[in-house]
Amino acid sequence: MLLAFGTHSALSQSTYLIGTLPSVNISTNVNENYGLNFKSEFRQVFAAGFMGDEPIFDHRYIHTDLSIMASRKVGIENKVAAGYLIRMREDGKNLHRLTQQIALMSHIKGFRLAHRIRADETFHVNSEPRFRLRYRAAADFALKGVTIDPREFYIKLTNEYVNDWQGGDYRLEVRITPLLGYAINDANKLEMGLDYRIGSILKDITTNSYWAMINWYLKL
Amino acid sequence: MKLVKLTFLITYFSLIDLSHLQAQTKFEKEYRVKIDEVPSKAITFINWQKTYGKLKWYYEESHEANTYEGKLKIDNRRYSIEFDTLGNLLDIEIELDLKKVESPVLEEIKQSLSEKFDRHKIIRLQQQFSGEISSLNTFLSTSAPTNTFTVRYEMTIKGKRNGNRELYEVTFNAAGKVLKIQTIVSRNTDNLEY
Repeated sequence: MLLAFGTHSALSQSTYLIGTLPSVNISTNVNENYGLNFKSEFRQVFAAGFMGDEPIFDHRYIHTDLSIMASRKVGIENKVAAGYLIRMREDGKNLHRLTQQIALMSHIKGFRLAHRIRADETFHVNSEPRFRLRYRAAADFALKGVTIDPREFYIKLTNEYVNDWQGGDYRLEVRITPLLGYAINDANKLEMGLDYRIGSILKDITTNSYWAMINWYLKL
Repeated sequence: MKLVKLTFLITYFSLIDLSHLQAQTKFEKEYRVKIDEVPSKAITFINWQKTYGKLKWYYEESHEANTYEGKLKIDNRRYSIEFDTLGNLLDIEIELDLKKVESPVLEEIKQSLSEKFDRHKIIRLQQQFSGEISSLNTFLSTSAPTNTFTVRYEMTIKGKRNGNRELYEVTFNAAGKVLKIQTIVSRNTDNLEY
């Protein structure tokens, strides 16, 4: 989408995008070792443009993602997973993505820290295949107490590095997400906060995306 | 476009009713409390001095009992001292290096773990004292545990049994015999994985 701004003045070297990114995340255990995860994410933009300029456009619906991941335990709290995502776009030309990941959990005092390495391959009828290799560190900790217990607030912080290859081009995006969470119980959590992403679409243009997030995690 | 929006709305609103369907989880929580919330009898027992370092108080709620726990470091050793809600001492736990366990007991512990688990890795070991302990100072000045103390070892391990890997809490008596094995239920990690 930001490529649409490409012909703008060469002096403008930074773009912004402000939107919302709510998601619902449902997991269930199939048996002791296997599990399934379903996720729905809905994206809309409220303003976008070049830094310091008026927005080029206002409100716009972007897409809805639906995904399913199957996971297997490979340790007490470590998991490998693979899945499929369909991105239903405004223009009706859907995008398809295959995902593989490994998530490694560790505990440091009152923190839970998860390292996630994820690879994904994206296919779309009008563009070349896109390949991404991502690393994310995610940590959460209770605002009161040692562990995140029912009816308690917590903080979640994530930092992700997304390497992106498409048709000979390479891009790097860095994501930082501070979130305030509330555990209704261990199987039902709500999180809200900001997802800030900084990347580059062309050599000299930096993209800045600000997504307001509300995440709902439900374990059935 | 209409189909996309409809899919989104159905997904979101149909899930709202599912929130009450998940299984009940064990209610157990531990949180920091201020010293003025702690029973004076418990504070008197610890008889806190600056040389003991920083003392942190916690309140633990569980199905079994509610307790106060004072955590502090003495001579670089981590102590956890547990009291009932009236301030009566329940036990004193000291984090221990495996090498500090006397060799006959250590051999017995290793033997017991080999019998109970296909594979295991020790995460944490605590020595637990309960019984006739009148004050922390008395306890600390006693060079060796006496007959008035009941000594146990409490171990957290990563273990594999019957093909399943879990976290376990294993309690041993003073001789290294297994008294109790409990599975530690891992907390939900979905919000860190997806």
